[in-house]
Amino acid sequence: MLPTCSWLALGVALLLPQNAAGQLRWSDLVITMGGSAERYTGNFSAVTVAVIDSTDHATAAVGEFGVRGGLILMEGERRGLTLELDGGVRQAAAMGFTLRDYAPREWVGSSALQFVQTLGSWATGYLRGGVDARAVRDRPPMPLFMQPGYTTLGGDATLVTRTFDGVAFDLIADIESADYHALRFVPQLDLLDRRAAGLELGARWGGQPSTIRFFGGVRWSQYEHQGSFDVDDPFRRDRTVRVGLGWTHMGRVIAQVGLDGTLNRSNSNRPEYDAISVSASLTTPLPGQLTLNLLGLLTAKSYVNESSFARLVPGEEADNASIAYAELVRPIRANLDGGIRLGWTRAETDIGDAYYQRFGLSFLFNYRPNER
Amino acid sequence: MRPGLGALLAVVAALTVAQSASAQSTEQIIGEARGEYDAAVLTHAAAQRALEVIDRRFYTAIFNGDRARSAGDDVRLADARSAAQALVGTLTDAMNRVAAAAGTVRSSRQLLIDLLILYQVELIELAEAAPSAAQRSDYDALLSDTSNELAELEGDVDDGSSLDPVARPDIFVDPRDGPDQILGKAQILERTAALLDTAVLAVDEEIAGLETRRDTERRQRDFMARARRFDDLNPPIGAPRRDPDVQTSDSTAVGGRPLTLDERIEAKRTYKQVLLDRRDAHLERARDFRARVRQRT
Repeated sequence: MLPTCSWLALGVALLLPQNAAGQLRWSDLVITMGGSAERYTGNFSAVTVAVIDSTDHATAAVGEFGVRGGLILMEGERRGLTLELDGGVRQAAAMGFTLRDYAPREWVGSSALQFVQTLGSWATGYLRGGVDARAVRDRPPMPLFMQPGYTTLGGDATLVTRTFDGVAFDLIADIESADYHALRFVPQLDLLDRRAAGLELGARWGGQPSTIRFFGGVRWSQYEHQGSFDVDDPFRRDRTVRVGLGWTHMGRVIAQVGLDGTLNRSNSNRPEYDAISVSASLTTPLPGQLTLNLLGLLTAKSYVNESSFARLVPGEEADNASIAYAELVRPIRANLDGGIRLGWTRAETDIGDAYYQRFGLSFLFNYRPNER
Repeated sequence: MRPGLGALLAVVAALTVAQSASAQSTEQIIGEARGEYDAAVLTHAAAQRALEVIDRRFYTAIFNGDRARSAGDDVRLADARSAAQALVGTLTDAMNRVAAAAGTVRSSRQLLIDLLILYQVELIELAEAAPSAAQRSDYDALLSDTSNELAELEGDVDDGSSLDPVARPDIFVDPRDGPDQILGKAQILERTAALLDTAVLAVDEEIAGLETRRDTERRQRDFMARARRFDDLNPPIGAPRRDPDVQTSDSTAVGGRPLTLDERIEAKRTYKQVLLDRRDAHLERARDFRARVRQRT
């Protein structure tokens, strides 16, 4: 199903006049347009892609359009209600395959309703519920990897305390249900359907401009369509422990560094792994009204058990990914930014230790219609 | 319609329709109007005193900021700027209260004036119809008192601008002031205006800094949103991690909610406008003072 609900909500919201119904207003409405040229390398198949091709590199010309914003439904000193909306479409013309060229089109939409309430003078509570949806048409074979279509429903409750002796604590509980859109020729996408619940506890030190947060959490996931090869416990159930830290600096320069360790254990030997990932991002103004955005994510993963089967669940490819982006943005008008972006991705496929790579050069425009 | 005209028409109708209306009943109505006027004057005076206190605190903060800037004391400078900006809302409210009280004084005074004029007509008719010289003399005396009260009230009308709220009400021209003293006061106002100009420049710098930070935050959000929108960054397996309570701006807590950068910029712009309005008011008053000196010489 196309992310119809999200797009419908976004359409209705866009039609609302400014300041309608008293407090109703957009917090930040952004329309994004862009295009890119991309090159993918890696010669292998993927379980989730019905079509198999023998090329080891493909290219694509891509155009995209997106809208996002937050609609403030209620705003008070102690409580607030916001509807966050994001939707987009991306059309690619993919070339270089042996069988034929492809024209994949992705539709995405997400909406989330968030309620914030301060609880006395000691904490703030957040309740959030939302839906994410994605649809892909004419999904190409590898190495031009695109995530398959899905719909996820999720909700979380977060409690963030005030600081006690310089430390603020937070607790997050979330639940999630994911339904992948199995197509006629790729019923295996149903294997990705899951139900999950998680709990995470964090402690944050510092204030403005820098904070550091340590966190630890556990997550339970059930894949009701995946077998575990255990007759007594036939369906896959994972338990994942994550610990890590994140440092954030919000000043003239915005910088974030994260270190994240994951231990995944399961009633199935195949997906048990340990992983560590390091991420860093930097946003800084430069001379000439330029802004530089950098993002890097490196992941290392090792499996607990040797296996001759496909290591990953189909679709988990990007779970073991290293990513780098560099972007330069500059205002063209008061409410219009233009920029260029370089991107690189190296991600594991469902064949263990086999990777595809993606290089991209993009241009983009961000337009804020409510700004003058 | 002029303020109080409705009430006046009601009074006139009552006087016309009720043939038995006497001078005594007119006096009662005038007495009530006089009471309302006196109460309005007292309310205005109280509002004016409150404004003077807040005005003094505001300028103390401005002067403290100037001294801290001269001494290179950044901490005191930041404190003084915050104190001045924090007073803007209170100051505006106090000025609005004085302006509202001034409006009430004007309308109640006009009602009283109109009633006194009607009363004069009534007294003249009564005097003409008086059966004795003694009674006529009494009506003449009342007429004289009424005329004096009217003259006093109409004199206040001519000086009506003094009711309006002014910046630095402690600086005013006293009838006993000579040219040098008036010029000295004009210079004080001009120096204060110069200080406000300096404060405006500082606010402009602060606004520019906040706007740069806001734009940087926006571009960071745009960058991340675009990378995540089509799942180029976040794998679909496992809920995307959200770092809780990462403020997108530093905050000055008001009530239970931190201010966003946009709200802080808006507050600074309001503050800047107050500074500019006051600067212009000071310069206008200084020009007025100098004009008075020229007129005297």
